[in-house]
Amino acid sequence: MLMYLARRTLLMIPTLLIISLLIFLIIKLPPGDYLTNQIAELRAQGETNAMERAEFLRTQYALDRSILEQYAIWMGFIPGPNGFSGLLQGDWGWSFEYNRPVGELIGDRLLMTAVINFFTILFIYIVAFPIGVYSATRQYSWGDYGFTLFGYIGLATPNFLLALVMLYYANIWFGVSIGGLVDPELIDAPWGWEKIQSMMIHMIVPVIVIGTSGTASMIRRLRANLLDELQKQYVTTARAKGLPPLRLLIKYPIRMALNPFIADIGNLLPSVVSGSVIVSVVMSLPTAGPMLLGALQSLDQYLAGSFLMFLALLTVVGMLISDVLLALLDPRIRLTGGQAK
Amino acid sequence: MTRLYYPLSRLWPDYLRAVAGLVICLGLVLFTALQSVIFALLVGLSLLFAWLGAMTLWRQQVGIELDASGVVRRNLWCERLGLGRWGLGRAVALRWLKVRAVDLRYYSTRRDRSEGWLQLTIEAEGGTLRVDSNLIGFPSLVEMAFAAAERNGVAIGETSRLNAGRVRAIQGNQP
Repeated sequence: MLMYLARRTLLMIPTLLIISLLIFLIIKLPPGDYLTNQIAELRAQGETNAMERAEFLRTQYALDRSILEQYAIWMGFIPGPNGFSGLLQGDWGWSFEYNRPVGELIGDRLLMTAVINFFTILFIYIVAFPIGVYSATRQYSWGDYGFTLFGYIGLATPNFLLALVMLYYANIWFGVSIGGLVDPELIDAPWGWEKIQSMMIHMIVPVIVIGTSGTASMIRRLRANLLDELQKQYVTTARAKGLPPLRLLIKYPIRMALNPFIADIGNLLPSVVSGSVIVSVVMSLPTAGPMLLGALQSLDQYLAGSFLMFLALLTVVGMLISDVLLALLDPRIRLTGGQAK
Repeated sequence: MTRLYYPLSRLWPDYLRAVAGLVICLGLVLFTALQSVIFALLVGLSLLFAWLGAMTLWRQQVGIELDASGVVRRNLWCERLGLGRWGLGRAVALRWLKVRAVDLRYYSTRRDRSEGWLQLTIEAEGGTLRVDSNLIGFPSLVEMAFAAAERNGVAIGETSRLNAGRVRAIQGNQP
C-alpha cells in the first residue's frame, strides 16, 4: 500500500505546481492590476500624488516585476521585497482590498466554509444512501418513481432560486432571520451556546440548498450502480442458496455500489466550496465563496490566488483520498483500457 | 526448481519515480521555513520516496526459488555480504502444504484503473511472502499458490479469485 501511496503522491506534487502556475497566469490575464484601478479612482477624486503612491505600492508588492518573477515570489521560490515569504514559507500574501494578510483574512471564512461543507456532505450521504438503495431494490415502484422525480427536480432547480424560496418560508414559518449564519444581534457576540444554537438553526437552509443537487446526482448514481450489481449472477446464486435478502444486499452488492460515494469525495470537496458561491452571495453567508468572487472582480491577485490554490489542494487531496480508499475497497483488475505490468 | 527475479528493465521506472520524488520534495524543502507545516509535509513525502527507492533496491536483490514443495525468498545481496550473521536478510521459506492464506490485489494509479500492478501475498507457516507482478514468472507463482490454497481448503476471497483468473490474460504468455 505504501508503494501505491508513493506512486500516487508523485503525480500529485507536479500537478499542484502546474496548477499554481496556471492559477497565477489566469489571474494576471486581465489588463492592469488592483493598484491601477485604485489609482484611477484616486485621480478621479483629484488626488495629485496618486502616481507616486502607486509606484511606491507597486515596488512594495513587487507588482513592477515580470509575471514569472511575481509568481516565483508568491510561491516563495525567490526573495521578494520582504525576503522569502511565499506559499512555501506559509505566507499566503497580502490582500490589497482588505489591506490585511490573506492568511489572517481567510482563516474564519475557511472555518465557516469547512463547517457548512462538513454538514452538507453529511446531509448528502445520509439522504442519498437510503433513497438510492430503496430506489434500486424497489425499481419501478411508486416510491422509486417519487424519488426519481425528486432527484430530477433537485438537479434541475437552480440553487439560488431554492435558496430564496427556502429563506422566505424559513422566515415566515419558523421566524429564522434572513441571511447570515447567526442572528444579526449575535454577529459580534463572543462564541457561546446561544451563538452556536443560532448558527445551527441558520445552517439548516444553506445545507439543504447546497446539498440538494449533490444528493440528487448521488441518488441517481447509487441507484444505477446498485441495479447493475443486483443483476449479476452471484446475487442470483446467493438468493437461490437461501441467503436472507437484507444480509445479501448489505454483504455484497452495496459494498460494490459504494464505489461512487468514495470516488466522489475528490469532486465533492472543492465543488461544495466553489459551487456554493452564488448561494453564499444570495444568503449573505460569511464563507469563502463570496470573498473569492470579490477578489476575482477587484483583481486582488494574492487573495484570489490563495483561494484558488486552496481549492486546487482540496481537489488533489480529495482525489488522493478517494483513490486510496478505492484501492482498498475494490482491488479488482479492469481489463478495459489498458494492461497491468 | 524455477528461479524468479525482478529484472532491472521493470524496476527502473520505480527508481526514476523515487529519484524524481526526492528531487522535487527536497528541492522544495530548501525554500520552506523550518518548523512550518509545509516543511514537515515535504520531509514526510521525501521519506516516502526514499522508502520507495529502498524497496525497489530491495526487490532488485531478491531471488525467488519455486518448486513443487514450496517457495523460498532469498536476499541475494545480503547473503553475498554475509549479513545473515546479524539477522539481516533472512530467507523466507514457505511450504505449499502449510499455506494459510492467499490474497491477490490489484493497484492502479490511473482513474480508469488501467496500467496497474498486482500484489500477491502468501501466508504460511514460516512467514509471509509478498511479491508484485513485476516479478518474472509471476503467473506461475500465482497458479501454484492458489492451487496450494485450494488443496489445503483455504478460503480465497472473491476479488482474489477474479484477479487470479485474469493474471494470464494481462500478462501474456509469461512463464
